Amino acid sequence: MDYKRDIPLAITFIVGVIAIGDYYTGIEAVTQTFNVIKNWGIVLQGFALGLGAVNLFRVHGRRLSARKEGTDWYFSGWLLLMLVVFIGLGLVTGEYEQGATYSWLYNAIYLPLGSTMYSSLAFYMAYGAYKVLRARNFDAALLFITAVLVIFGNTPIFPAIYPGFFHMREWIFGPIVSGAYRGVRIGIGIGAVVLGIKTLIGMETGYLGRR
Amino acid sequence: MVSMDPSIWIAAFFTIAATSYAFRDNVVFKFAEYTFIGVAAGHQIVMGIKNIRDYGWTKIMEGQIIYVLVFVLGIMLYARFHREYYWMYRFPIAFLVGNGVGISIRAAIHSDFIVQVAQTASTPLIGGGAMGTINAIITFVGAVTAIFHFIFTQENLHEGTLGYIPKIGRWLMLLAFGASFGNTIMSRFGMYQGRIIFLLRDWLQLV
Repeated sequence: MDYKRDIPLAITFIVGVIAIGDYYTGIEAVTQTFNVIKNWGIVLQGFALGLGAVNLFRVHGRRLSARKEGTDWYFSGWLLLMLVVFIGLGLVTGEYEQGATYSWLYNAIYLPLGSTMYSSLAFYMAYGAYKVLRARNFDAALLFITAVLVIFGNTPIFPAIYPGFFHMREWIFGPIVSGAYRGVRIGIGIGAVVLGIKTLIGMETGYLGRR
Repeated sequence: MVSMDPSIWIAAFFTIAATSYAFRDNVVFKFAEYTFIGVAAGHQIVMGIKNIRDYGWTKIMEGQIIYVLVFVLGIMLYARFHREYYWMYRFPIAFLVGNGVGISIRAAIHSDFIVQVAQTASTPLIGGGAMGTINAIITFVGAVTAIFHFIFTQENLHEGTLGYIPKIGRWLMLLAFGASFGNTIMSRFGMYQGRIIFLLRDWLQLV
């Protein structure tokens, strides 16, 4: 028995079976055990975030200490400074995200940057759409038609010119999208269950890392 | 009259800096990008530590000594960086994977499989007028043919006359993906409008 691999595989199986058992058996003891497992999962995710922070410090710390020309090492220093400032502000006051200075910085930096970064992807999507959605063949034409009709239906000016655009958008999201996505979701569901069972019984071991 | 609130000025600067990449990669965008990564990671870590306190440390303080084990597992995660004790990292990861897989299997069986099959089977194909019947048939055909498209174990299902069934499924899926794509673009532009309104109203106070 290779305890370095077999014990983790057993842990995966037992924890997974308890999680499924909680849903399907309704036995009180299983539910209570699963509640503890859920809490443990949340705590472990917290520790895993620390793992990410250590990695950030390793990667950017290395760049900062090397100070190679053309590597933007000073930005790495700035990144680490912001990381330390946010962690410090969150922990020193003991108020976490509720602290006055923390929420001030959160609202001034994190919120506008997050929403602008997320929304400005629209520019790249529009550019990508221009490159990809040119109706070069029948399949691309299908993508193009509904994408354009939905964009027209979502924009105030086009339904104002011709109200049919709005109704077409509504109709596309009715039978076409719900029908096709229903098939896709059933496929995803079957795939997720099969992959999950393979993981639980130890046929998928990629998450254990190197041998 | 321009806003005098320094937090609005900082938010406005970062809004413009993050947008500047739409024109070309530049130093201001890089500054915004690195700031965002640092702040986002910092925020996530603070929330993670808060969760460790709320869901772990508090329980130990309440006398549930078994929660000491999860702290041991959490520390074992950091063995990942050690060449010799790397294997210890597998125990907490195995726990997280088992938990995630268990939760996703039960969610997939219920919401992705049972609910979808039940909805497809319970919708009457005829009724609700001519348009209702057409819509119900399209929905049914879409669901069935899309499933056919993903059956790869029977090669003959994709050949000859039968091959039209998965082909129709693919066409309907492409129409649906096009619609989702269009919708995503519009929702992102909607969000971006929010940032423009912030600049014009909250920062420059023009509207």
